[in-house]
Amino acid sequence: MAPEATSAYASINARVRVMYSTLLSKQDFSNLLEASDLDNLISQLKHTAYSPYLDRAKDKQLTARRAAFHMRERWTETYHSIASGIPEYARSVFSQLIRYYEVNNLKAILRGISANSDWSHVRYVLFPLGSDSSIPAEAMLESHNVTQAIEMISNSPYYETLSFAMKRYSVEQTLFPIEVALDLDYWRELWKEVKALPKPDQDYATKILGPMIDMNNLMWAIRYRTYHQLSEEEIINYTLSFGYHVQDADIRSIAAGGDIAQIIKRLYPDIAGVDELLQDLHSGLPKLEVLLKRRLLRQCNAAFVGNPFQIGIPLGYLLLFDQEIQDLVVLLEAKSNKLPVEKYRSLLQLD
Amino acid sequence: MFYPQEMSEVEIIVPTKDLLPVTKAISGQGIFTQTDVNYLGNEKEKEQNNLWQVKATQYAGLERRLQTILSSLSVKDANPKGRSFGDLLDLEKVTPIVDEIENEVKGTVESINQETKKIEHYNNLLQQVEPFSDIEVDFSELKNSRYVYSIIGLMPSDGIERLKTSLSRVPFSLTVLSQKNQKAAVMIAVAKENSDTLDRATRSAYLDPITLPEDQKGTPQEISTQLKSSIVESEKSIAEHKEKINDLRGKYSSQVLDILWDVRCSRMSTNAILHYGRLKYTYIIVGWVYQSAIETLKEKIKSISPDTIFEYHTTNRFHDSNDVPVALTNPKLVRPFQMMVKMYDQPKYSELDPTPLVAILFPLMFGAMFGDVGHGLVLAVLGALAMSKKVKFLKFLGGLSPIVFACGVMSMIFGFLYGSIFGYEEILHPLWLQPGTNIMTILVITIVGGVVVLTLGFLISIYNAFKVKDWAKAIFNHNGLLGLILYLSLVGLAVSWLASSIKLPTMVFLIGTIIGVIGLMFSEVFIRMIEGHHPYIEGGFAMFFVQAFFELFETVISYLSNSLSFVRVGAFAVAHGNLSAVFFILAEMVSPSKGIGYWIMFLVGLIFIVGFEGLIVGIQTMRLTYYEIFGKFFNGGGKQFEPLTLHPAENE
Repeated sequence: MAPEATSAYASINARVRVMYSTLLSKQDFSNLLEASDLDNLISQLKHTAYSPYLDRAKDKQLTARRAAFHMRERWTETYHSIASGIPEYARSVFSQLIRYYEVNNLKAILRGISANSDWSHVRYVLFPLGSDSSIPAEAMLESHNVTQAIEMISNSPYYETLSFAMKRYSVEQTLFPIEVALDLDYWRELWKEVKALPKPDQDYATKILGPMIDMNNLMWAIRYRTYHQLSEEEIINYTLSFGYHVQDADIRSIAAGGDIAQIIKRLYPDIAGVDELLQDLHSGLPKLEVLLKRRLLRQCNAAFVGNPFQIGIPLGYLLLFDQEIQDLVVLLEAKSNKLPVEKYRSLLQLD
Repeated sequence: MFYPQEMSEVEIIVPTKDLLPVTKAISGQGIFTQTDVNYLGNEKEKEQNNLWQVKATQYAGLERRLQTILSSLSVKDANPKGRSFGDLLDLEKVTPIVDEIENEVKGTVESINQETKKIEHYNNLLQQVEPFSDIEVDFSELKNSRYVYSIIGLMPSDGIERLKTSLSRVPFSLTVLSQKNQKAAVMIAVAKENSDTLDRATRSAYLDPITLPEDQKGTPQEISTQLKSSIVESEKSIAEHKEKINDLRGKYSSQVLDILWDVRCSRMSTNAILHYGRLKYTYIIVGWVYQSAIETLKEKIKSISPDTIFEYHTTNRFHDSNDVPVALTNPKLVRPFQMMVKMYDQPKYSELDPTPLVAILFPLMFGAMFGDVGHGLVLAVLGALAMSKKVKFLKFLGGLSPIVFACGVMSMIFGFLYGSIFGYEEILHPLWLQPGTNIMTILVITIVGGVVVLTLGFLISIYNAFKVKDWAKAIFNHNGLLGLILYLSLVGLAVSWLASSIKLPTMVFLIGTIIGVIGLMFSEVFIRMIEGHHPYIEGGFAMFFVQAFFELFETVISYLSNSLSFVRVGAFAVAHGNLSAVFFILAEMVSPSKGIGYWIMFLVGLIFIVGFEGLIVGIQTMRLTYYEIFGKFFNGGGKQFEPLTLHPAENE
């Protein structure tokens, strides 16, 4: 490892460890779970590191959605603070990482157009990327036309991918092919960037991002088969051919109608009760996803042990932070809809 | 000149037979603005109003059709010269003529559109076929194959391996024909019974199959040749139709423009009539007229229609005049500056029109900041050329050109005072002083100038308030009498302190300051006392005192910042000379012997200074005008006077 990379990681390591200490603890989450309603939850959050972000809106304006939007602004700012200190050779991985949120924004905009939503409804659903995003979100939404909206991003990296998907959209009039094409392209590009890293960092990044890719690929394959009833060849084309633990043969086996529970048990022997969990796939799949996410988060936490001069620490922290916000969004939505705790407690990763 | 044009409200009751001549008489001179009174009159007459509504809609529809015809003929929409407006256009007579022209033009335009669409279609097909042009296979034969099902198309290169994997359970053949820019042209074949599998696999791999119409037969190369010749044929057909359009343009353009003019006049007249009130045999017209023109208008209408009843009354400018429309009618020299006032806001009918003040102060401040005979001359010439409307590239200046000219002239005058020409300060002897060598003097003078201007602002504010009998504002406002006393006293104290050699009545200023402070702090109490409201202090004395103190503090700070803001006038005067000096240094670095390089650099400097510095000085002058001067006395919020016109040219 080059000396400048070591010094860069030394500084990043120090900063990230400070940030790591600001993640909410289990005790914090227990307290937040106890909040009587949305207002109470927000006032509790105002005593955490999210306070300055929540203060960006007046109390009356802080709906669950708006609060989530401002909390995500903290993630974006943290990302910038970290990404600016990353060694030059590893920056492209971080640039690709933030594109994940832009892809999701793009999908949300297209869904907004399909549902004929107005900007005030979609605005706070989008991840606040600020100048990181090249997507003219408002103009796209106000075009009220998917084809015209896509033409507005003809200079973006998504256009080439979307040009093929748009041909299918024009025939089928469903966003499914567009969303799948965007997802596949995103993860392929991320994997390429990871594989382009020099050796020690490549291994550390694979340990963090590999399980994430595995989880997504596996869940796609199972859902395409069980929810969408797609054919074997369609499932194969709509999934990735690479992974960390999950290999192409596993995906093909699911596509060909193999026993899902057996495949999961073979891939993740540490997960107990898979047979019972997947007896009813519709209710079992979200639970399986939670278990896989928890494994991923353990992997992120493990990055903080051992070699301090490596990419896994900032990557792991950003994923942990993102997951914390996802959990808080679940809490905000649940409190806003006055759901009883037992209905959503199992969906929280940091529980 | 100092107030907006005096207005009178008129009510005219016109017999139906004289409706159009009277409407024409009140319009067209820019002196009458209409008030919508179509709610006046009998319910029974609504039917007649509906007829006017129908007419107005018909005229508007016809106008749109004529505009489309003009656009199809590529004729610019312009008003015919010297054409006057007679009676309302007879729709029954003119519609068949428009129908005929429209049919002829539309047919030709549609033919062009059809051929254009054909070319677009052929080009699409060409785009599909061209990646396969190296393949010597007849596509139509492949389609008709008995045992083999094949698909040819384009797909993302990234997906080829995945597509192969997805087809692994059936025998298949996949050939990559070409690859370019992440796109691959591929041909895949399977046994006929596996066609469904192939369809599903290719669709999910985002393969875009080539789709050629039945009549396109042969190899890709042959199809491409056929398509190219079809494109040539369509282009030839378009050229012929365009020739026809040229003939139609010559034949109809002036006729269409004439009809369009008449339709517009008729549409504008019917729109005006729609806003009249309606009685059984008469119409009621209500609006505002320049007071100076009222007798002339009355006579004119009486001569056209002796039975018309004409009544008017003039509203007191300073009482209940909020609804009176405001027309600014300044002398020709001052008029260009009206635009700057209106950009800020329309003055109220009851307040002084600040245009004459702006017309003096704006060029004066600009000239003081940009004082240079040469640069001023360039600006004045540019302004004059723009006013002449003969130089196309200066058209963007529009209504600003007289202001640019005035600023240029004033810069020249200050150039002589400063002894500066094109940045050279050795050629002319300064008639007054050189800002660069008298920095403190110029800065102090500009602050003094600022104090004078602000005092003028105070006086206008007080005058405006007195005229409308707003005593509270006139006396207790921070821009009122007490504000002026405090401001001048503070200025006096500051001068006494800074220039102890000048003997000033410091005690008077001190007393003035105390009166001003107490007056402004307790202004609310005094106002409540005068108006007889109780209690005099709301919310407790402590709260009142804290609030009053901070308000006073803010007022004093704003006096200070308003006055110091004028320092920028002196600062820019100094900066102008220094900026020119920078370009001289650069020019001498480029060519010490003052060769061609020197003069090129001089020219670059000239463009930069006139363009960029001129723009910045203009912005700063505008800032001083709007914030420091207007902020003192100008309220705005007046209603714009929109003269009734039935004449499209006047409307422009």
